[in-house]
Amino acid sequence: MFNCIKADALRVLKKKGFLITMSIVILLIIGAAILTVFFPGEDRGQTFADLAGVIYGINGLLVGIPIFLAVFSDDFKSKAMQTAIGFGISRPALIICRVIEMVWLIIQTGIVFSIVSVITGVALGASTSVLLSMIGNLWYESLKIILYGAVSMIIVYLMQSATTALVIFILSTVGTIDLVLMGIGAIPAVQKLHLDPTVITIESVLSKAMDKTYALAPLMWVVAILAFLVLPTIITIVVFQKKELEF
Amino acid sequence: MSEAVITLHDIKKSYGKTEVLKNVNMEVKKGDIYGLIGKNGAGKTTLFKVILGLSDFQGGTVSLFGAKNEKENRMNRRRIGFFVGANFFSYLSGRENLDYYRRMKGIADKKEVDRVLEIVGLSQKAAKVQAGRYSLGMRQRLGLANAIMGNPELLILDEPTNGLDPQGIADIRNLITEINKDGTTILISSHILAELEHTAHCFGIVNEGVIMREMSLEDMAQMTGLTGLEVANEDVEKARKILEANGVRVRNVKKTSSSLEDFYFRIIGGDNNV
Repeated sequence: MFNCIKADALRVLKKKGFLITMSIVILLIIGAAILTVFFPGEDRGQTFADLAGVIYGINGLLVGIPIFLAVFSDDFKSKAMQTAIGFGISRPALIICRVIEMVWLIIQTGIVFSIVSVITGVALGASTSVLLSMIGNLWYESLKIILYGAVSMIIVYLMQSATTALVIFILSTVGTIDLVLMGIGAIPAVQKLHLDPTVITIESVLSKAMDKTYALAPLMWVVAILAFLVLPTIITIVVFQKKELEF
Repeated sequence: MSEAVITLHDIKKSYGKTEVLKNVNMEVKKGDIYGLIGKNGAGKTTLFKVILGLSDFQGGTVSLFGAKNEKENRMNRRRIGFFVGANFFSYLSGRENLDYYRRMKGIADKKEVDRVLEIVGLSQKAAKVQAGRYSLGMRQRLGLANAIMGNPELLILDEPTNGLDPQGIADIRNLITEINKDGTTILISSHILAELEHTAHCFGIVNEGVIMREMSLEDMAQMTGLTGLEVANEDVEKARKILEANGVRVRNVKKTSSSLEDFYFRIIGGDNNV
């Protein structure tokens, strides 16, 4: 399994699209710094942190999509998955490999963006609390990419195509699915049943986890990981176990 | 009696109501080149997918290298190299693709990539080109290089000469024979009978999901009851008289010319010897 992760992670790092988008995010952070220099506002550090926050907010699209495509779509296009299974790697192991790989790539990009953001923030005189809040925001958005990716993965392996799954991933990342669920929740019949569909969304669970006034906040982190990372992985393993693979 | 490398027993496989494999029984023995013959859609690729664990089946058993269950089969698949369509990461070079699979297979020696590239005749220059820019022939060679990486004990090749030019076909044929000489068992499919006749030791004829017959080259000769001797001479009548004078009964005399393949290689100066 380790060989599989290592081979695939090194492959993704050679993918130009992935490297280009990483460079774009870094350039955007630097651009935010330049903008801050010219328009510093009352607190230069805070202004930079706010601008960086906007970039982190679209990180799901900028970095999430290339990672999602590199990890899942390429697997189907190149039939590397068939080669791995034909070589004796079990299907559950293969899926776990892909999840680990996705998490690893997102953590790796997160580390790079954190370093660039902290260095830039320090140079602009941001306080420690502002820096911590900014980095916390970055990792919160990175975690969301991981969870949206894991949920969308079910569709990848169910349909053996990354296209539909990518659409779901994008819709989740930009919050469309949350809006749809809010719409469902607004239907009078649903309201009469006292059901709020939005409580099951990643956004909702994570915001509760972030809410310091909520007593069960620490537990919500565990719930988020179990419900949106572990459970989708298990579901994917089950749906993929007997799937016919084409050459 | 040599040990069985692949044993399929009563394999049944269907897609909905369509049965694609009907009680397939097949045995490939160690050291053999087993040719699986059948027209397109006969079930050859499905059989390969069953052997490689890429397709579920409804009945029967698969045993690889004497494995007793699927877990053992999975472990034994690491002893198999296979070529079932040449698909690669288009943005990586041929070498990078092979390097990817080398890492995945846990082969530590980086020189293994150079070794297999040389065997399949892909130059170092060609290996640096992105696989997406490869011609079909180059992709086939790259696929074969991947299959033979790590010296597998069993090689499964699904129509490896599809789309190749005559030189490529002859090269692959020679390659298969050479690999087999080192003791590698080979299961190869084709719908081109002449191709397998030149390479395989035994055959399985598959039609509409059924193995109609399994036989060795010797069995084939016994079944027809005849063995032939080809005499190439400009004066056929003279050759016939010499044979009859020496007590050889000549049942059939047929005038033939060189095969198109022989003629082609004579013109371009290539080599089609197996």
